[in-house]
Amino acid sequence: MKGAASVGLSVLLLATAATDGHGLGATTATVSITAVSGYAGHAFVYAQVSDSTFAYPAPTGTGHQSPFFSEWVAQPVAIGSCPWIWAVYVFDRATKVQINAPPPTAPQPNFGTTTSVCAGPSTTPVDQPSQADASARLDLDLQVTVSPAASTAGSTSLVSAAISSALTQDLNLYLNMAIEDWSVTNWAIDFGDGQTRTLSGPVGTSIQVGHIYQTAGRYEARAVASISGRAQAAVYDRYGTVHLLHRAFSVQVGNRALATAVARPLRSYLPPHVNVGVVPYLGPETGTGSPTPFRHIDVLRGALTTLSVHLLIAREGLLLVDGRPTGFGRSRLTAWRFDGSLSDAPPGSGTIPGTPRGAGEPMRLQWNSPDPIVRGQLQDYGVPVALYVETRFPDGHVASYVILSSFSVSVNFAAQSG
Amino acid sequence: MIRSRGQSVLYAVLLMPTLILVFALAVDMAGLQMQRLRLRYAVDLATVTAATGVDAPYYSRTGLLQLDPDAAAATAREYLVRNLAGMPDIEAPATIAAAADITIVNRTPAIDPYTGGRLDRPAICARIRTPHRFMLLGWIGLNEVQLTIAADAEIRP
Repeated sequence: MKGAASVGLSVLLLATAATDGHGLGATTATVSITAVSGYAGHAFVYAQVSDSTFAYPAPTGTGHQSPFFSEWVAQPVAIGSCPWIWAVYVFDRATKVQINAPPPTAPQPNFGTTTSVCAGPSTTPVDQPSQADASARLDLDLQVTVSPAASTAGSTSLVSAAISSALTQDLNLYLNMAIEDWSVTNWAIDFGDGQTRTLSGPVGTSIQVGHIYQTAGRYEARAVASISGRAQAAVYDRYGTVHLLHRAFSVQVGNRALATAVARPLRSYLPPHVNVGVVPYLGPETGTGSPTPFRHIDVLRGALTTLSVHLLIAREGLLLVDGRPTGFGRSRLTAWRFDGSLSDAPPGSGTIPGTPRGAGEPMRLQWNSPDPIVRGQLQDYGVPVALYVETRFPDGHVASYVILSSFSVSVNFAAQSG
Repeated sequence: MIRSRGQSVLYAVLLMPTLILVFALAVDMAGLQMQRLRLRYAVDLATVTAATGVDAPYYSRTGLLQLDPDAAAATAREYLVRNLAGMPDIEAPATIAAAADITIVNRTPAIDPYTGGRLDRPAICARIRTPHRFMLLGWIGLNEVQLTIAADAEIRP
């Protein structure tokens, strides 16, 4: 069985050797480039080097620009027509990893390589059969997305484009065709709403561009990447000298994505309905927990009354989205202003009208006259107060209001009954 | 003529004591009324002053005025002593003030327990009792009477 395999291998090698090429001082190889642009997400570049006349394997050692190198080892096989062979071990120059190792199930004789040629005394490693063609193919895929896919008109959408590539290239013993040097030179983005943007210079293979769709609608965002590069063919002559042939190429790949901008919801903010409430104190304000504020109070005539000012909320501020109530805000008193006339408080002790005060500051007023009588009826005093209210709505919007309000006072005094 | 003279003596003997009694009654009644009036003023002013004794915590809780029972009663007794001290024929103002009946009415409407008057607002009601010594009626054995004076004051608009 082993002998039959050896004979078969020898016959094959001899048949191959029968098509030996011949040495040539200069290469006659031709390189052709086919760059096919595509705007539906895919484009490719195809490069081919042809040397139908002569092409020779790369020699062992360094100093050559081929990404591979090979080592030739003579192996005796003791067959009459081919007493020994050259076992060719090909390695990746960068990783030193053998790329032509045989599978474990390879038949005997197994010299640890899938490449071998019958070598007689007159046969040299460089005098081997030629290979006519080598090719390389660069596939370019462009994916375009818009995030979020459905945005609100007036908000920022992110248009993203990313190129992925796949490279298939022949890097064999005789001819190399490679496309390893390419880059995006230009990105052109059409947002679909009449606006475009171009990114030039050293740009990467992926971009993200923010864009605002001002009006509602469906838009088709397009991105086109312009790519330039060069293909390199390496051709070896019979003396092991490498000849590099470069061919520039340019190709465009484009794609599109749908973006939807929905109409911006119409938000409106209704101010809260609030009134002023006061808690009275005779003398200085004392902490009594959480007192209930009043809109009407009694006061003692001639007594300086301290009033803590509070917000009485009848209805909180309301957020309307497209006319529909969406949520209530939270209001707080930031300041107040006494808008009445100067009270009867002793000079320097009463609240001055017209001056805004902090929310925690007390109001000090005094009445020395009893309630006026209007049409035979006692009439309370009205105390006008401007409230500075800050309302925070559920969407985070903060609005400030100045709301005019008042509370009433009934001036009491001690008197005999009857 | 002699008969007429005898009638005059009879008149003089019979009418003179009556006239004197009437005179004494007039004088002491006037004094009694004056004393009653003075006492009334004293009690009135004491209650009015005491009616400013406001319950401050209740005021802050409700916004309404009512009387602090302890403070108002103390103020009323204090001012009773002050007002009675300067009055004639009042021998022990502090004793009278201490013995005074004082009621604080915060729940209205109500009836003054001493005068029977209607109270619509928080009020203080006071009543004092003091003896009044007659100046002339003592001749007929009527030396003194007990005077009872009541008044109230309220906090009202």
